[in-house]
Amino acid sequence: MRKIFLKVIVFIGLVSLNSCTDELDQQPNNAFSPETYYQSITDFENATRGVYSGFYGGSYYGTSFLTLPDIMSDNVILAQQGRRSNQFYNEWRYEPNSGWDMMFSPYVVTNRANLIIDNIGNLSDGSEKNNFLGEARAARALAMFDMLRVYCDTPTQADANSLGMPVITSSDNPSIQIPRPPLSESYQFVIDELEAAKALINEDNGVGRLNKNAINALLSRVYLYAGQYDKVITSANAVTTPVASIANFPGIWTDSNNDGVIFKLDQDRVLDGIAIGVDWSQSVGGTVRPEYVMAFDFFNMYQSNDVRKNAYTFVGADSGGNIYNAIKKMLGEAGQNNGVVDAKVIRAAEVYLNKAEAYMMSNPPNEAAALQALDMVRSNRYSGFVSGNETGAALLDAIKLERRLELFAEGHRFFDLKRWGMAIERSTVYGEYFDGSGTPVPAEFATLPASSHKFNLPIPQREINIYPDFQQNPGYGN
Amino acid sequence: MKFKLSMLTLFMAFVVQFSFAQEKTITGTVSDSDGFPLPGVNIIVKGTTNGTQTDFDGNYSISAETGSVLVFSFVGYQTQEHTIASAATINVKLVAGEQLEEVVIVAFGEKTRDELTSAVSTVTSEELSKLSPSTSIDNMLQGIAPGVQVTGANGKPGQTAYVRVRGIGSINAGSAPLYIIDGVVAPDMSSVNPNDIESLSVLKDAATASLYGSRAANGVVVIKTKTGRKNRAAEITISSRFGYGQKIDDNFRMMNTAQKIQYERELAALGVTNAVQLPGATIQSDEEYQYLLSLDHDWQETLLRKSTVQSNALSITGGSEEISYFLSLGHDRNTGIVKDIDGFERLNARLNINYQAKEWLEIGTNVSVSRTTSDEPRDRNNVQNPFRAMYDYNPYEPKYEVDENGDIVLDANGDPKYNLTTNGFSISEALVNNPERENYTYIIAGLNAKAKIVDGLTNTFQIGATSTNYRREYYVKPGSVLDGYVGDANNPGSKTDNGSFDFDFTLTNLLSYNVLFGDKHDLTVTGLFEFNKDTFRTYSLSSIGFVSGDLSVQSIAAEPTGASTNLFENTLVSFGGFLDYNYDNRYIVTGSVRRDASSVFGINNQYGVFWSASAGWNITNESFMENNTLFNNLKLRASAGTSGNRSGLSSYGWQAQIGFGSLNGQTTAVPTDNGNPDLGFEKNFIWDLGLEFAMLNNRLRGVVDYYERTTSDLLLNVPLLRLGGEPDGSILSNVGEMKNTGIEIQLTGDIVKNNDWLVTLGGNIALVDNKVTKLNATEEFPNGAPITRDNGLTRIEVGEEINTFWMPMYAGVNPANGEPLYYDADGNVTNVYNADANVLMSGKSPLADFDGGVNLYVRYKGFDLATDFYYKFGHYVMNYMQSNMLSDGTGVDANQRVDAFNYWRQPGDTNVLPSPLYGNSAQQTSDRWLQKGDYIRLRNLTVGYNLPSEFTGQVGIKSLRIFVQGQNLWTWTKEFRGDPEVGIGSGETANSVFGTYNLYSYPQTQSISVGVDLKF
Repeated sequence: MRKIFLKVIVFIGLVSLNSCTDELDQQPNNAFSPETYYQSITDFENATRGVYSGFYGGSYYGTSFLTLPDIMSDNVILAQQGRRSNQFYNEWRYEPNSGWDMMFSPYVVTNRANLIIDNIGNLSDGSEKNNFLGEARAARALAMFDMLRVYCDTPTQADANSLGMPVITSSDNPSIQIPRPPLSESYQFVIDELEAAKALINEDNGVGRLNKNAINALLSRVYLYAGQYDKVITSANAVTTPVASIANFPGIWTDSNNDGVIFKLDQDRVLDGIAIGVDWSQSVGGTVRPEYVMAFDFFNMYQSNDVRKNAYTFVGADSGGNIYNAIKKMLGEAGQNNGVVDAKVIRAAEVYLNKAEAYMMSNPPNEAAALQALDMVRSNRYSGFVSGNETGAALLDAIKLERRLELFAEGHRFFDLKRWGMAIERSTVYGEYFDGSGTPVPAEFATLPASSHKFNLPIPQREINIYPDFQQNPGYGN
Repeated sequence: MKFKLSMLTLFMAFVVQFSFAQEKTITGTVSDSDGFPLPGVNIIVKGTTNGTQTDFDGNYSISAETGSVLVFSFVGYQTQEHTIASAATINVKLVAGEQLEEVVIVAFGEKTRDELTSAVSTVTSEELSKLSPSTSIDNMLQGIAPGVQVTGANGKPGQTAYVRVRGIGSINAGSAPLYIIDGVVAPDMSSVNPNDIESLSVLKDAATASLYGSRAANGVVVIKTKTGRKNRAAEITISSRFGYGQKIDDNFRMMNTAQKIQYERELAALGVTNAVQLPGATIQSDEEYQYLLSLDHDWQETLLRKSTVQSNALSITGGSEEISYFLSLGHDRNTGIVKDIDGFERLNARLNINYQAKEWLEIGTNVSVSRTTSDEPRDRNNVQNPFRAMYDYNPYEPKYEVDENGDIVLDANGDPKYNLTTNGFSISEALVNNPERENYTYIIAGLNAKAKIVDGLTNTFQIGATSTNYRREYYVKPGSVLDGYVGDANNPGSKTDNGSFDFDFTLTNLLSYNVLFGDKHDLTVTGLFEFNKDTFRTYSLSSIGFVSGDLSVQSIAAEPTGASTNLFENTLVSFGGFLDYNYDNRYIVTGSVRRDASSVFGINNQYGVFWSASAGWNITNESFMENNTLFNNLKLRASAGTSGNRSGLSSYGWQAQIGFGSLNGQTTAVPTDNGNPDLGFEKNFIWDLGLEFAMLNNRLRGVVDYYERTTSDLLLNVPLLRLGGEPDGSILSNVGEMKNTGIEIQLTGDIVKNNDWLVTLGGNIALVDNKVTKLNATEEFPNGAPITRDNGLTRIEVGEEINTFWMPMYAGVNPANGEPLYYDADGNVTNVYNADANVLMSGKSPLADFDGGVNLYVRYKGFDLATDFYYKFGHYVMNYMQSNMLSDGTGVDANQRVDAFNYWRQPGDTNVLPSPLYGNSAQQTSDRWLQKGDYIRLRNLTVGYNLPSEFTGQVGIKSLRIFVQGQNLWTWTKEFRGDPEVGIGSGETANSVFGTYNLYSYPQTQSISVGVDLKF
C-alpha cells in the first residue's frame, strides 16, 4: 500500500514536472512580440495608424508643436490671469534642463515607421505593400524635418558647422548612441525619403493619411527651408488640392469640412480627446480662462473683410470680467470648447504661399507667378478681394504677411522668422485685453535678436547625461 | 442581528448539554515546583475526550468517574497522570521538563527553540490576544518584534500596514515581506482573522527565509492557524468585543469663527489681496458679524462621528482518536469616523481538519473564506476628501445653506440645500451622493497529505490555492454636485464597476529523510519541488445616464462609455534541497539550496539559485555548563544566505511587446516596450550573528542580533537616448545596490513573580542603518546618478540613506521686515527663493533610526493589566498639512490654525511666521515644513479580569474573562504637529514612498472597548 502510494507520487511528480516546465513560457495576453506581429495587411494597417498616433505626442502635434512656435514669437501675448503655462518659452528662458523635448515623439514615430519598414518583406509585392512603405518612409521624414526645425539651423541660414539630428533607419537597437551628423546629411535624408515615398505611395489615402498630394505639399515646405526654390515650385505644382473657399474656411477649424486640408491627424473627440488647443485657453461655464491671446498689433493686421479674423479669434470674457481677443482656432468642434480638434499638418494655402515665396526667391524672381500664387490664397480669404498687385520687396512682404496671417497657431511663425533670419519683435505698448489695454510685454522679453542662440532649442540635458558625446547647440553653457 | 441570535442559540445549546453531563467533580490546583500556580494546564480524562484547563490561579474542576486517570500536561513541563480515588481534590506539582519545548513555525515545518539557528521572532495566540486589536494582523505587530517595522497605511477601518523586515530592501520593487498561511502564500493580511492564529513567526534572516527563494528577500511571515487536538472534547470559545472609536485629537487648534474673521480682517488690512473679498474684510455691521458668529461650528464635529467597533468570534475545536478539527466564525465591523458612510465589515469562516487516514498517512485541509466590505471616503488632496474639508472649510460656513434668519434653505424637492462653501464643493453632499464601495472575497485553501513511507522517510504533498475577488463600485449619482462639474448634461450620473480575480495555485512536495545515528547525530535531508501559477484578471466597465440615484446597476444606463478586461499569468518552478544536522542538541548546522525558475525572469536569466548556511551552539547543553545556575539557556548562532525579490517584475516585463490602442476609433499597433531579456530578480544577501539567553531561573530572557543585509541587482529604470524610440524612455535593468545594517535587542524580565503577582516588563529596540551603495553609473556620476523621487522631495544618492530629503533650506524670517529668508546654492542667506537651490539633507529621511516597543504586563490574582508602547525615532516627515494650515495668507480663504496669528508684525519680531505680505515666497517647498517625526504612542492598555473557576465551573464554563481595552490613548511627539504615524500621504499618491509627507489621508483613531472571552 505504501509502495503504491510512493509510486503514485513519483508518477504524479514526473508528469507535473514536465508540464510545469512548459508553463514557464508565458506570453502577454494584450500584446504580441515584434517577431510575431507584422504579418498581414491588417497588421500593417494597424501599425501604420500607430505611426500617425505617434505624431499626437504632447510635445509634438498633440499640443506643443502647434502652439510653442507662436508662443515663442510675436503672434500672441500672455494673459496675466491665466495659469502662465509655457511662460518660460514665451520669455525665451528655456535651458537644457528645462527645454522642449521634441526628440521623444519624433523618434517614437521613427521607431514605429522603422518596424514597418524592417518587416515589410512579410507582405507580397504590390501596391498595398508599396503604399505602407511609402507612408512609413514619409512619416519618418516628416518627424526628422520637424526636429530639424526645432533644434537646428535652417539651411538657408546655416554654415558648414551646422549640425543636424541623427538619422535612424532600423528598429534593431533601442539603445543606439550616435552623435549628431552635419545638417546637410539630415536634410538630405528628409528629401530622399520623401522623394522615395512619393514613388511608392497611393494617389489618395484620405485626408487623415499621407498620400501623394501630402508628400508633394511637404516637399514644397522642405525645399523652401532647404533653399531649393525650383523644386519648391515643381512640388507645389504637383499638388492638386485647391485652397479652401471663404464659405468653407471657418468650418475647417471645427472639423466640419476638410476644404483645402491636404494632411491632418484624425482623432475622435470622445475616444481620443487630445486637447491640442488647451495651451490657448480653458473654458469654464460661459467664461474663458485664456493663457495666451492674439497680440493686439497682430490682431489689427486682420482686416475686417478677412474671413480669418472671426475664424481665428473671438471676444471672450474671463470670470473677472476682463475681455480678450481669445483664440478660437483649435478651440474645439462646433459647440465644444475643450480644445479637441484634428491637428492640421499641411494645407493647400501654405503650398501656394510656399510657391509664391519660392518664385520671389528664385534668381531671377518671377513676380507675376508669385503674385498669382499669393492671390490664389488672398482671393479665398477676403470678401470683395481686389489684388494689391504688389511688386518687388512689397510683394515679398505681402507674401510673408499673408503667411503669418494664414498660418497663425499652426506651428510656423517661430520657424519662419528663423528661416528668414529675422528678429522677434513684440509690442511693448499693447496689453492682452481686447482693446490693447492690459499688461504689455516687459521690455526684456520684447525682442529676440536674429543672432540669438535661442532660435535653436537646447538639446535636452537628459540626452547629454546619457551620452556625453551628443552635441549641445551653441550658446547653451558650452 | 440574525448572526448574533444564532450565536446565542448555539451558546445556549452547549450550556444545556454540559449541565446534563455532570458526574463526580474533582477540583484542585496545579503549580510548578516552586509552588507558583500554572494557568492553562491541560487536564484530560485518559481515554476520553473529556478535558479542561486550569484557570489563572492554577485551579481546575473536572467531572470524571472514580478509577479513571487524569492526565496533566503543559508546555515545558513533564506530563503527569493521577488516578481518581475517593478524594475530591487532587493538587499537582508539575516538574519542568525538556520533552515539551516551545515549537517555532519555520519554513516548511516546525522546530524547537533549541534546534533553531536563525533569527526568528515569534508571536503566539496568547500574546496576540494581549495586543492592540485590529482586523489586520500586520497592524498588531507594531512594536512587538524587533526588526519588524510596522507603519499603518492610514487609520481607515480594515486598512493594512506597511511592514518592513530589517530595513528597506528595494527602490522600485516591493519591500513587503512574503506572507505564508498554513503553507499557502496569502494575498492580503485583512483576509485572515487574527483570532484564528495559533502562532506567527517572522523569518528575518537567510537561514530560514532562503527556503522560499526568489520571494523571500524582504523576510517571510509564516502563520499557522489553530488546529484541534486529538482526543479532546469540543471546546467552544466565544470572544466578543464592543467599543467606540474617535479621531485622535489634534495637537494644534483650528480657528473658530471669531478668530477666523479677525484673521481675515487683519490680513485684508495688511493688503493681502486674497483676503480682501472674504467676510472678515467685507462685513459692514455688527449685525452681519453677529450673524456669522451664530453660524460658528466645528467642521470636524459636522463631518465626523464616533465609530462603533464590534468584533465577535466563535470557534469550536476538539478531536477524536483519528480526527481533529478547528472551526471558526468571525464578524468584525468598524463603522469608521466619517458620517454618512459605512466603514469596514468582515465576515469570515475557517475549517481546519486533520485526519489520520492510515497509521502512516495523515491528511488535512485548511480552508478559510472571508468577505470584506468597505465604504471608501475619497482619499485625495482636495476638498472631495472629508479629512481635508474638515480643516479647510471655514467655521462660519454652514453645512446647509441658511437664509438671513438662520433657517435652512430647502431645494425644489423640499430637501435641505447643501452649502457649496467657498471651495465650490460640499463634502457632506458628496459622501451621500458619490458613494464608493470596495468588496473583497478571499478563499484560501490548503490540502495536504503526509505519508510515512518507510521509517524515517516522510513525504508531504500540499496543494494550496487562494482566490481573491475584488470589486469596486463608484457611483456619481445624477444631479449630484460632482456630476454637475464632470458629468454629461444630457446623460446625468456615471457609474464605474471595476475589479479583479486573482487565482494563485501552488503545488508543493517535500520528501524528507530523517536518521538518528550513534545516538547523538540527528540528520534530516529534505527535497522540495514546488510549482506556482498565478492568474490575474481585471475588468472595468463604465456608463453614463442614470434615471435615479437609487438605481446604480449599469443595465439601466443610457450609454456605456468604457469597457476593458485584461489577463496576466506567471509561473514559478522550484527545486530545493535542505539539510538539518543536530549533534546532541549542542551543535546544530543547517544548509539549503533552492533553484527558482520563473516566467517573469528574462529569457537570458530564467532561473536563480539561492543558498543558506547556519550554525547554532546551545552552550547550556554542554556538560561543562551542567552545574551553572545562572543561565537556563545560552545560545550562539550565526547564519548567512541569499534570497530574491521578484515583486518588481511584471508578468511580461522582460518581453518586447507590440501593444494595441486606438486612434479615431480604429486600432493602432505600437511597440509599447522593448523589454530586457536580461531582466532578473533583485538579490539579497544577509548574514546574522545572534545570542539568545534565559537566566536567573528564566526570569530574565533576551535575544540580541546583529545583521548586515545587502540587496543588489536592484531594478532601476536606466534612461535610454531618445534615438532608439523606446516608448517609456528607459530600460528596466538590475543595477542598484543597497545595504542595511542593524542591531536588534529584545529583553523581557519577570520583575515580580509569586503566588499572587506577576509583573513582567519587556522591551525591544531595532536600530537600522540604510545606505545606498550603487546606482546607474553615468559619465557625470561614475558611482551612480542620483534618482529624484516624490516630485523632487527626496533623492536616492550613493553613500546616503535611501529617500533622503532634498530641498532648498529655509533661513527663517527677516526680523527687519518679516520676509522669509532662504539659503542660496552657495549657502548664503537670501530673500530670493530659488527652487533649484536644493540641498541634500543628509541623514534626514522618512526612515527611522530606531523603533521598538515597551510593554508591561501585571497580573494580580484574577486581574491583569497589559500596556504596549510603540516608539519611533530619527525619521523626518514633510508636513504639508501644516503648510496649508499656516499658509502665510496664501490660503486665507480656507480655515487656518490658531497659531497663524503669530506672524511678523513689527521690526524686531522674532520666532514668528513670515509676514503674510510675503506669502507666495514663504509658501515654497523648503525644509521649513520638514519635521522630526519622533513619537511615542500608547498603543494598548488593557485591564482584564478572569472569573475564578469555582464560579465558572458551576455552570460548565472553563474560563470567562472580561476586559476593557483602550487603543492609542496617548501620544507624545517631539515637534511634529498632526498625527505622527504617517503612512500613505494621500490615497492618490499611495505609490510614493510611505511616510514622506502627510496629505489628509484617513487619520489614526483611538478607541475604548469592552469584551468577553468565554470558553466552555
